[in-house]
Amino acid sequence: MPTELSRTEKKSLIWLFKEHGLRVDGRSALRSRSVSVAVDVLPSTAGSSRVFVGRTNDVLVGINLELRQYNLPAHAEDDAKRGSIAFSVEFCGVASPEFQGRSTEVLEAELVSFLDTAYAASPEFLADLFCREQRLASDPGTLRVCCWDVYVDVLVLGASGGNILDAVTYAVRAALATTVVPSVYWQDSESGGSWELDDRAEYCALLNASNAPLSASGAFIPPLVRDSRTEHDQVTLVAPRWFIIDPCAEEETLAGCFLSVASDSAQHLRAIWKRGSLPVEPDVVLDAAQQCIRDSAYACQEMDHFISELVATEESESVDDVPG
Amino acid sequence: MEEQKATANGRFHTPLEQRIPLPKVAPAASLALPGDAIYAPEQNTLRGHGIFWTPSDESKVLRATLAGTVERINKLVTIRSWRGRYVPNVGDVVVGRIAQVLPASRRWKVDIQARQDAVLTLFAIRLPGAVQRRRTREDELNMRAFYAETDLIAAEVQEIKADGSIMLHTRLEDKFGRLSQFGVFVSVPPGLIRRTGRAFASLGYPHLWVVLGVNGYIWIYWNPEETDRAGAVADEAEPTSTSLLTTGDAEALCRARNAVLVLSMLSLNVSIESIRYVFAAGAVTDPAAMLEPRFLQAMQKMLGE
Repeated sequence: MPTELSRTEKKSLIWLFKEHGLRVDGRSALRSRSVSVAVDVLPSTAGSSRVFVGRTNDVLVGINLELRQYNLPAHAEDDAKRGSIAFSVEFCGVASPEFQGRSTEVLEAELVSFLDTAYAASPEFLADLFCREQRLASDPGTLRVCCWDVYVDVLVLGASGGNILDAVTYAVRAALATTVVPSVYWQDSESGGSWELDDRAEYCALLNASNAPLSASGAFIPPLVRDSRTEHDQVTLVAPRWFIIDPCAEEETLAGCFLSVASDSAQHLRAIWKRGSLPVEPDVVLDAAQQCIRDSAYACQEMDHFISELVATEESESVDDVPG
Repeated sequence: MEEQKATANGRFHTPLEQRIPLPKVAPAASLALPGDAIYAPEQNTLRGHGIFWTPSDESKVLRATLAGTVERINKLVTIRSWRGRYVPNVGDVVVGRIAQVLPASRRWKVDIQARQDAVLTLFAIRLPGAVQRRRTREDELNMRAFYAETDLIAAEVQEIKADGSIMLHTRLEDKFGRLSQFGVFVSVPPGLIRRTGRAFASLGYPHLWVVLGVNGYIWIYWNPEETDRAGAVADEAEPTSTSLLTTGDAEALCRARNAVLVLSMLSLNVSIESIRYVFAAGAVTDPAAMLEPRFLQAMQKMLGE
C-alpha cells in the first residue's frame, strides 16, 4: 500500500478533480476500472478464479464444497433448508514483502467480516446451496436434508492498486459462479439411508451464484487538504465533498472516508461498511450508498453475462474437441 | 494470440496474454530463470546477487535464483532482476520521497526504491540564494522548510559508501530539489528503466515534462517555463496559478501518466522515447481507456515487435 502523498501531489490531484472532474487516471467520478477475470485456475478446487484490477491488485480464490446432511421435521420452514458459506482471507506473505508480519491482520479480519455479513444477508443465495431432501421411509415425519457448505479461501497476492475489497468480492463471486457441484443420489440402508455423492463429470452442474452479492466501494475526497505546516489556519475539519467510485491507490491515501456497499443484481442491500475518520454529512452518504448499490447491481449483471459467455465458449470448444 | 472475449463495454474481461517473445537482440543465454544453469568457466568465480551454487552440480555450473539478465563484471556474476529493487550507480538522477527528517544528524532519509533508504545530508543541498556558506544551527532547525516528510525530490547519486549506503545530493545547477510543480507521480519497477543521459525531458506536448528517475520513480509535471528546472521554483506553485490549464491539458497529464503505466503493465522498457510513443498513440483515446484491455493489446502488438 502506498505511503503518504506529498503536499504537491495532493494539491494536484484535488485540483484536477475540482477544475476538470478528472481523476488521476483520467476516469470520471463514477466510472470504475476494468477487471480481468480468469476462472478454473486451480485444479484441486471445486471452483477458482483469479482477478486482476489495475496494475497491482491480484486476488486468487479457491472454493471447496462439503455436503452436510441433517434431519428436519417434515413441516419445517424453508428457512431451515439452507447451506452455509465461510470465508478466510489471507494476504500472501510470499507474494509481497509488505504482507509479511502481522500488519495485514486487521484488514484480513475486516474483509472476512464484510464478506460474512454480505453473504449471510443473502437468503436467496444460501437457499441456492440447498441440495435435496428425502422423506425417511422408517420415519415419515422426518426429512433427510442435504446442503452444501461452501468454504472460500481468498489469497491476496497484490493489493497496492487501491480498493482491494471490490477485487475480493469480484473474485469470490466469479469463483462461485464457476464452481462445479457434483450431483447426489439417495442410498437406502437399514438405518434409514443417506445422501451419497456422484462425482461423475457428466452429472456435475455449475453452482447457481446469480444471487450472490458484489460490492462497490467509493471514497470521499475532501475539498481541501489541511496544511500540516500551517495547521493553525484551519481549525475545523472539512467535510469531504466529492464521492468517487472505485478509488485507486493514490485516491485512497487522499481520501478521508470510504464507503463500501454490497448488493445483489436486484439491488438488494446486503452489507454496508463505512471506514475512515473524517465525518460525512448524512445525505451525502445516502446518495453515495445509492450510487454504490446501483453500481454493484450493475456489476452483478455484467459478471453474470461475462461468466455465461465464458462458459458458453468453453462448452463450444469442448464440443469442437470431441470430433477431433 | 488469444482473441479478447470481452464484450464491447463490459467491466469484466479475460486476462491479457502476457507471453512476450524473447528479445531478438539480446542472446537468450543472457536471460536466466530461477534454476537455470549459468556456465562459469573461470576459476574462483564470485557469486553475486541472485546466483547460487549447489553441491550436486559440477563446480563450473552456477544456478540462478532470480529471473533477469545475467551480468558479468570480471569474475563477478550477478543477476539483475526485472522486478528487483533499484541498484544505484554514481551519477544517476533519481526521484525520491523523503521518508524521515533527522535534524540531529543533519540528514534526510530518502526512499528511492533501493534496498535501503538513501541519505541526503544537509551539506549536499543547495541553500536558497545559492550561497556557499557553512551550515548553521539555524539551517538544522529549518530542515523541514527545505524538504519535509513525503516531499518528492529530484536528486543525483553522489556516492555509494563501502557499507552500501547511498549518498544523494541536490546541488547541481537548478535542476534538483523539491518537485513542487503541478504534476503526478508514478512508480514502475526499476528494471524497466533504460539508463539514459536525459532525465528531464519534454513529452512532445506543450509544457508537459517528465523527470525520469533511474530508480523507477517518475514525476510528470506541468512546466510553464519549458526549461529543465524541475525543483527550482522557490515558492510552491499554488493550484490557482495553474488555472490556465485547459481540460485538454489536464487530460494530457493523465494520458502521460497512463502511458507510463501501460509500459509497466506490459513489462516494456520505460524511456522518454517509449513514453512519448505510447502518449502519442493514446492521443485519440479517452485517457481512462488507455488502461483498458483493448488499448493494452494494441500497444502490446505494436511495441512487442
